[in-house]
Amino acid sequence: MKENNQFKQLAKKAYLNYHEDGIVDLIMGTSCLGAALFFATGSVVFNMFTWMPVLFLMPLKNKITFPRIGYVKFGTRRGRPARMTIFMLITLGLGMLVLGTILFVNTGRLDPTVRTWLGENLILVLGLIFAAILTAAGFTSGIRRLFIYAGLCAAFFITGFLLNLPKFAAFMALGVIIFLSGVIQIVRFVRKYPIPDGE
Amino acid sequence: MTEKKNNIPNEDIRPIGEIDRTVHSPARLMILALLSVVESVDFTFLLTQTGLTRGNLSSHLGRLEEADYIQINKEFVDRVPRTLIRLTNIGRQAIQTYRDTMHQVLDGLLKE
Repeated sequence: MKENNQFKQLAKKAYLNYHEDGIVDLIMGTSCLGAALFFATGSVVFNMFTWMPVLFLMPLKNKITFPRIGYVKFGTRRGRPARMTIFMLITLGLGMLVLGTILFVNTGRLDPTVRTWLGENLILVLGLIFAAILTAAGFTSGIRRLFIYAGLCAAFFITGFLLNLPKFAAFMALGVIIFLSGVIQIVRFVRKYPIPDGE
Repeated sequence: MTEKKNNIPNEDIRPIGEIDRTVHSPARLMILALLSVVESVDFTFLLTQTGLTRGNLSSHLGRLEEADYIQINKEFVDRVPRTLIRLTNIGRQAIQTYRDTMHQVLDGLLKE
């Protein structure tokens, strides 16, 4: 079936509208802050904050987004699966890269010089991989602010590396910015889309 | 003779008379256009996206359901009950036919 460009725009607009709520930003920001606290304190409790916020995605969407703009399920049409597949492949590839590097470092199969460099700069490597994942997510979803986050992420981690700042500094700075951006968006969203009468 | 000739419908504009009126209504066309780009939506989503009133939207959805162009089901999504509306294959075919017909009719219009 030949696709109509206007219909593609319609799908894109509906998709962006759905992500206008800033909930993903809140979750990403909290995860980054969790990572920062984990690196700052070394406490496993804060490690949980890196993945636990994801569990709140659907409850928050149910509470804030769906009553306001309604529920929409973006299906398998209009090329979205192809984009999602690309994103999943990139994420998987980068994940394998991290895992492979960690295994190489731990099993001692890596050149000692490279191993030492990776051990000292693991945070920088992780930061740049995170920036790459954000870029891939921005590309596949069309959410432009993800590119800004990716740029900030790369900038913070490189600056932290060059200025020899503590490991948690870049995560903290990125987490605060993404979290605040999420808060601003959620406030705007709630004001822009009041709950329709009769709900 | 001239009068008889005038009564013969012009083949070029004849398809206009055969346009599916269920699809042709602006409100229903909006609903079908939205449903054609997603898998399913709920009533609130259509309400906010189309800007129609509740009564108006309900009435148009009823008409589309009668024609089997849409399917309305109650489902549990993330343990929350939702009334989901989706386009049927018949509805998708109807939009395609409508689009083709409109293309055919309007293609030469206003061209030299």
